[in-house]
Amino acid sequence: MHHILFNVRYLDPGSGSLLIQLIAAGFLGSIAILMKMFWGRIKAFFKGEKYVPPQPEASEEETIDEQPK
Amino acid sequence: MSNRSEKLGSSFRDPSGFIFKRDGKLFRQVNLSYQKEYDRLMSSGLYKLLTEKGWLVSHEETKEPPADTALAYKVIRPQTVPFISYPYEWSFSQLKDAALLTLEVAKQALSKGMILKDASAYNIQFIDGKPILIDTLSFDTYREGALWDGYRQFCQHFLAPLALASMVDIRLTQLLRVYIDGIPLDLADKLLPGKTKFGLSGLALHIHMHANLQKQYADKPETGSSTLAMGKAAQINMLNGLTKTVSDLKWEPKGTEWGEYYSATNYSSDSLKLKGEIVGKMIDRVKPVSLWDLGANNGLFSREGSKRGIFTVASDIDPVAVEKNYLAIKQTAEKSILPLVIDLTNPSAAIGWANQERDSFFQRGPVDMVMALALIHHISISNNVPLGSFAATLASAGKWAIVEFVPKSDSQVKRLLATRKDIFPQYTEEGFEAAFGEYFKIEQKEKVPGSERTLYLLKSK
Repeated sequence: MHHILFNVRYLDPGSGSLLIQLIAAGFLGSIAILMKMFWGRIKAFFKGEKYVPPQPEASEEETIDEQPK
Repeated sequence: MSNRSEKLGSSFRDPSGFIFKRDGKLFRQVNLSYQKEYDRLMSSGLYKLLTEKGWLVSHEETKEPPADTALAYKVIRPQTVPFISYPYEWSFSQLKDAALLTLEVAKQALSKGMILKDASAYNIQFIDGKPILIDTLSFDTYREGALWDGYRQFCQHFLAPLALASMVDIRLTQLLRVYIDGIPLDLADKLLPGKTKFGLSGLALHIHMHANLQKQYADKPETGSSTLAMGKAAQINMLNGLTKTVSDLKWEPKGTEWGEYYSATNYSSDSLKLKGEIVGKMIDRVKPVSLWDLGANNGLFSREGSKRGIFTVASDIDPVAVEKNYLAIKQTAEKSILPLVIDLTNPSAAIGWANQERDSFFQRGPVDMVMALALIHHISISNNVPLGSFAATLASAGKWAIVEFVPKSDSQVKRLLATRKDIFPQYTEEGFEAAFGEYFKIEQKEKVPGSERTLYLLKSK
């Protein structure tokens, strides 16, 4: 879930607060990434596969060994 | 595990580490779970950048044994903060400068591949007149597409109180005393004037729309917000927007109770100067390391301490006086003085979980010396506090005290008594000496030339 993208969170960022950030940042900057992610989900759905969010480049190794003990 | 180390109640929330005290010294344990982030902070150049700017406390790594060995990666010793203060004790510009610093730190972090993971006002303190981030463990590794987890906290801790102070009333910053995690946005949404719902001030978005969206999503299960993403440029864009919104919030105090105090008193400028000299001599006699000036107004006499290099807290009930003091300190880059808004008749209480997250005002003492100049009539006459009770409080706060007695014949006291019945027969110089004599030894007594007032240098028994 979260930790893939955001590492271990200790603050609850709040869904509403996350959405506002996108608005605040201006839709244009973020819409491309957003589309890419939803497109992944749609493709996975039609192929009957489990959706795997794209792995952030710099953090692949870290996300694997940072599972909670 | 050491038996003499004590975890502080203020830093339990973040699993990255915690603060502990051992033999009177403060340390921060960095946990193994935060190893990568800590190493990145140190190796990415972010630590160097922020500490050189004076935006983050510096620290040194120590060989001190950890307080919780099983979790520990490192133990660091952070730069000392002379006095921990809280956002509900800051004047408008102090809170605003702390907010702007938080945003600047967030931007710098992004430039070095990290992200500020929270935006707590309690992570900011003032050293030598300037705000500084004191939580070394505030940074996470930035991952492409990440949003800012600290955004909501920023709005609650900084933006809401600043907007309310600026647009409604300065006293609303005191809501932070009640809401330890910042002012709830739905409350700010209700209290702010209607005009802020429109327009481009940023408040329409960051407070009003934000509150509404929170409401909409409050009882819905998390649906795909983990797939929300924004680019780094977009995030910087948003941070710049917040900087603009905060910068545009202004508060210009109009003549209040105390704002023009020194021009309205019966002190002539000569008399003020002589009073300062007597106070200075008394300070020189004691040579305190730390000093609290209670009822300091704009800090005129607090500077008798700070200009000698003595760390001085200059507290006053009046947010205007404290604001003026802070702006003066900022303008001339003064050191060793910290102005704070404290209502001595109801000083900051201990708040938070188990009443241990934030200390009460007096828990943050005692200090070597307290001063209460031209304060006693406000405490004892306006607020009906018996002289003995005032003496006991001062004696518990400081080993030494400088107290100015203002007799009933003084025009300021006459003014206070003009509108009420005089129920204070003990309020005389003899009554003062008897009451304070219970707790203090009178070391020195000096008439303030050109007035009817007396300065006492007192040593706690």
